[in-house]
Parts: sequence; C-alpha cells; structure tokens
Amino acid sequence: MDNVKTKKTIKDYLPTRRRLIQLYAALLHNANLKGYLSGQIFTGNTKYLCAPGLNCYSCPGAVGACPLGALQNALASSGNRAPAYVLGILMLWGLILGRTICGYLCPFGLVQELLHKIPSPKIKKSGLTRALTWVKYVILAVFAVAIPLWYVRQHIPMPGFCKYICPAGTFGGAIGLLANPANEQSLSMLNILFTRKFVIMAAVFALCVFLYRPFCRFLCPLGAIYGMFARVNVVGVKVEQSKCTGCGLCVGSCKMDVRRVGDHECIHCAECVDVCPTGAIALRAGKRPLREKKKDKAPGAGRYVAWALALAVLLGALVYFNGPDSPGGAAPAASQTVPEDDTPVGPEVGQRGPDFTAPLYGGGRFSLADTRGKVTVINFWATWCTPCVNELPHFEKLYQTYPEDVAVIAVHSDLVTDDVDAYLANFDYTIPFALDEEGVVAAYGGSTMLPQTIVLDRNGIVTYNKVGSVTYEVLESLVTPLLEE
Amino acid sequence: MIKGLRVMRVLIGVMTVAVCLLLVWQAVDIYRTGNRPENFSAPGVRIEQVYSRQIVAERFGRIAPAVYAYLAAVAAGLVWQAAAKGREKKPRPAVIPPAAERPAKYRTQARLILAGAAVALVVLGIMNGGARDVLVKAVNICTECIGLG
Repeated sequence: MDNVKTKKTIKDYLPTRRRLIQLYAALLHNANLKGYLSGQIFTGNTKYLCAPGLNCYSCPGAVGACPLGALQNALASSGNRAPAYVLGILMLWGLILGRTICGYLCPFGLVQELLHKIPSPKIKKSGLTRALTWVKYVILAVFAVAIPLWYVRQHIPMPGFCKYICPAGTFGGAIGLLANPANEQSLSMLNILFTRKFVIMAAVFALCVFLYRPFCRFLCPLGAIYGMFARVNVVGVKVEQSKCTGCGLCVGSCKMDVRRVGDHECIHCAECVDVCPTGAIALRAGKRPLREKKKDKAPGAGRYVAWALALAVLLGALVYFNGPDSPGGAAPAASQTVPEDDTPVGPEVGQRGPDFTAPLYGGGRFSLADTRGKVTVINFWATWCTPCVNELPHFEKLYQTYPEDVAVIAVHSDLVTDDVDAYLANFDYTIPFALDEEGVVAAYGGSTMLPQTIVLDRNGIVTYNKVGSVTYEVLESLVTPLLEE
Repeated sequence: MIKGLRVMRVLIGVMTVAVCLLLVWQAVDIYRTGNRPENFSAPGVRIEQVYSRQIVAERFGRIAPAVYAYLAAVAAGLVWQAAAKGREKKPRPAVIPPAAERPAKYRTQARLILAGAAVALVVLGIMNGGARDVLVKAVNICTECIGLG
C-alpha cells in the first residue's frame, strides 16, 4: 500500500496557501461588495487600472478593468489612437508575474478549480489536450485581435471575445447583474446572444468538473498572452539545472499540459516543488525563493508579516469600496412636479419627460420643449458602444419616414473617448446628435447601461423607456399608435 | 469503501452532465418559445419578451428538484471523499521526460528592454487618452459585450 496514509490531522483539511491567495485575490478583484446588493457596477477611478486576472468589469463587484476587455476595446479604438496603455499594462503584468497570475490571482481560475473539486471521474492530460492548448492562441488572434480590428474599418467597436465567448462575462457580468431584482428590466434585452453565451458558460462549467482548468488550457486568450512571457517573467517556478536529474516526475504529475516546468502552459502553481526528489524546483521571485521543497522548520516571521500586510490591504480595500462615500452608479433622478400640471416629471412611463437642452454636434442647441406637439424619440448612445452604433440607422430611418410627426434626438453619453464629429462625418445621418452635458441620461433614469431608448407622446409624456437595442420595427410599433392619438 | 467512492464519482459525473443538459435545454427552449411566430404582433415586434423573471422562475422551477438533488449528491460526495482522504491509493505520476531547457541567454537584458518598453507604452497611453478609454469602458456596461443583447 504505497502512498496510503491512514492517520489524518486537521492540517489535511485546511486550504493550501495557494488556495488562500486565490480566495484573497478573488475578493480583492471584487471588493465592491455593495454592488451585489445594489445591482450597480463600481464607477470609481480604480477602473483606470487593468486588473491582472480575467474578471469582467461589468461584474457588480469588480473594482478594476478586465485586461482582455480593455485590450479589445483599445484595438477597437485603434483608428483614433494607438492601444499603448493596455499593451503596456499587459506587458508589465506578463513580465512580472506571467502565468503565475493564472495560478494564484485569476478569479475565474479559482472558479474552475473549485468546480474540479466536485467528485467525478477525471480526464487526464494526453496528446489531444496538449494539441487543444493551441486553440487559445487561435481565439486570441481571431476573437480578441482580428475581429475588433476588422470592425474598426466599419467604425463599429466590436469586442469579439467578450461578445461571443467569454464565460466570465456571462457569469460575473450578465448573471451577476440580472440576479439582482433592481435590474429586472434588463431581462427584456435577453435573446439569442444571451442564450448562446449561457450554453457556452454551462459547457465550460460542466467540463471543469471532469477536466482540470479547461478554459485556461484551451480557450483563455489572456493566458495565451501571459504565456508569451514564460521565458522572462520574474515570479514563477524555476528549475535548478545542476540538481535536475531529468526524471520527469514534475511534468508527469502536473495537471496542465506542460512539456517542461515553467513553459508557456505552466501556471506556476508550484505543486511540482514537492514532487521533485532532488529539490531542484522552487517558486522564485527573481533569485529569491518563495516556495521550496518542504523542510522541517517553522515558517519564519516574514510570512506572518506578509499575511498581516495582505489582510490590512484587503480590509482597507473593503472599507474604501464599500464605505458610504464610495463611488457607485448614478442615482435615478427623483420625480418633480410642475405647478401648472399635475403630471409628475420623471423618467417613468406615464410621467412627463424632464425638459432639457443640449449642445448639438455641428452647432446649435437642442431643446426638448421645441419638439412638443410631435412624438419624440430620445436615444442615448456612445461611439464606443457596439449595439448603440448598430442601431443608429434604425433611428435615421424612422426620422426619414415620419419627418413631420416624429422628432428624434440622439444624445451621446457625457463620457467621450473619440472625436464624435469625426465619427459622424463617416455617415450621412440627418438626425440631430447632441452631447449630454447636463445629466440628461441621469434625468431619464439611465445609469451605466447603453443603449437606452425613450419615447414621448405629443404631450411630452413618457410612453417607453428601456435599456437595450431596438430594431426599426420595434421603433415603428412604439411610435405609430402615438401618431394616431 | 474505495469501490463505492468510484461508483459515487461516476454517478455524480453522469448527474453533472444531466443537470447541465437540463439547464441548457431550458435556456434554449425559452429562446425558441419567445421567438415563435405567434409571439410577434408585427415583424420584429414581440408580444411577450423572450426572458422575464416569471418565465425564468417557471422554467427553472420545473428542473429545480433535479438541481437540488444534484447539489445534495455533490455535498454528500465531497463529505465522503474527505472522509476517505488518504485511504485511496494515489496513482503513481506518469514519468514524462521534460523537454530540454533552452539556455536563458540575455534574459536580464530582455527583461530590462521589455520593462522599459512597457513603462514607455503606459506613459504614452496615459498621454494619448488610452487610460481614459479604459475607465470609460469599465464604468459603463455595454449590454452586448456581456451577452445581454
């Protein structure tokens, strides 16, 4: 009975140090805990920084930007500026930590490992799984790079991986938001896109039960990027060649598809450290060992100091992100009542739409009051929002079809990243485009979701106000009954 | 006990696949029902939305007993597995000769060059507005990007 141990201690059931670091990192990535209660995403300045791990920035808890989402959007904006910032950040993460991020810091890696704990027959690595590891490079090239760059030519921001594949976005972003009753209205947006991504997510989760980290091994473009730094990353498992006998136990016991310790498939989990009979392998930061083969000596004081510091950082982050003054989503505008009319002013259906004026692109000013007597369609959009730019032709067609009876105004979000005038010069739109300078989006109950469409009847009463894409047919069905009144 | 453990693992494996298929089936069926011709009053205009809290609760309510049974089986399996920890014979790791280590020539120089380039790119990105782009995208939800539609 080799390797059979019958006497167990409490230590056998405690989480490993790596698991504790993974839990810590997942909590730090998602420190905005109050977002889960409010159903709103964090909107503070920490989102300037790309987090190291794959963690959707539309997740209510996320306090940093997803590096992969940011990369795709930077490539989608590459017609205007070079994607230098995101590339620089990715290079820094890759150079310092490389795929150690996958092994220790990525929240989605933790999810996969926990699912793999579910008792089931496990599929071992083989030549097939090794071959499949190249799929993630194809996904990186096609979905994360080629698709965004291809759509740049058509002036459409298109993060292909987020839109078509990312199960972390479906799990953390879509389901994380939809699970909150405050976002019930968003359920009306769900259709083929969500169904397809839900199926992909379910398949990935089911695979995780049988296979170790299938998403990291076969699909993750972020892992593919970090893997490119395998030969230079500072923190990672390293082999002392003078001690190595080439016995192959390290590669044989590894659950990833590595061909040697520390290669581009290695996530530096350091489980091979204990397997090596000669103690040739160690997790190192440069030359400083972080984990070596177990020795019979008590952990030094340095480890306790490191954990105390880490806990202090986590507590500080939790207080900062969840305190009463922390930035959250925009609060919905409160209803007001105008003295000469009993109809309350507000964004809800049945209320009178708040009046506003806004500067028009191309000169002049738009005033909502001037559209009274016409059915008015207000569209909130932005150049960086894919569904927004895709639906603009529908508003244009509506405007062309009912020029006398329907007023259309497209209001760009106050967050401007591109030259909107230059963007509009690429098209022949005749509808007026304005900029939200005075909180129009907030006045109509908008917050962090785009696009949003509002329809007002001839008296300025809100008859429709929803977030999500619309088609021309939907717009016409909303407007036609109001024209007959 | 060890044989029982193996049977339990196979059973939970089968249940995992079954529950996953049930979830996928419900999601696909909700989509198909919502897109039937009788749900359209005009081309592209639906009478009932495809997904709603009511529809989701009703559909997933139907398979809830199977999901609860699965979760209970997983919990029991985890407890059993923990109890049997150490009694199972660990498979001897395969011996796969590692690929030859390529000599790390100029590693330090490569690190310095890459670090310099990365810092330069970050500074350039902050100056050209790329950092603000990241913030703007991260503080707004692009509904299509997370699969909402």
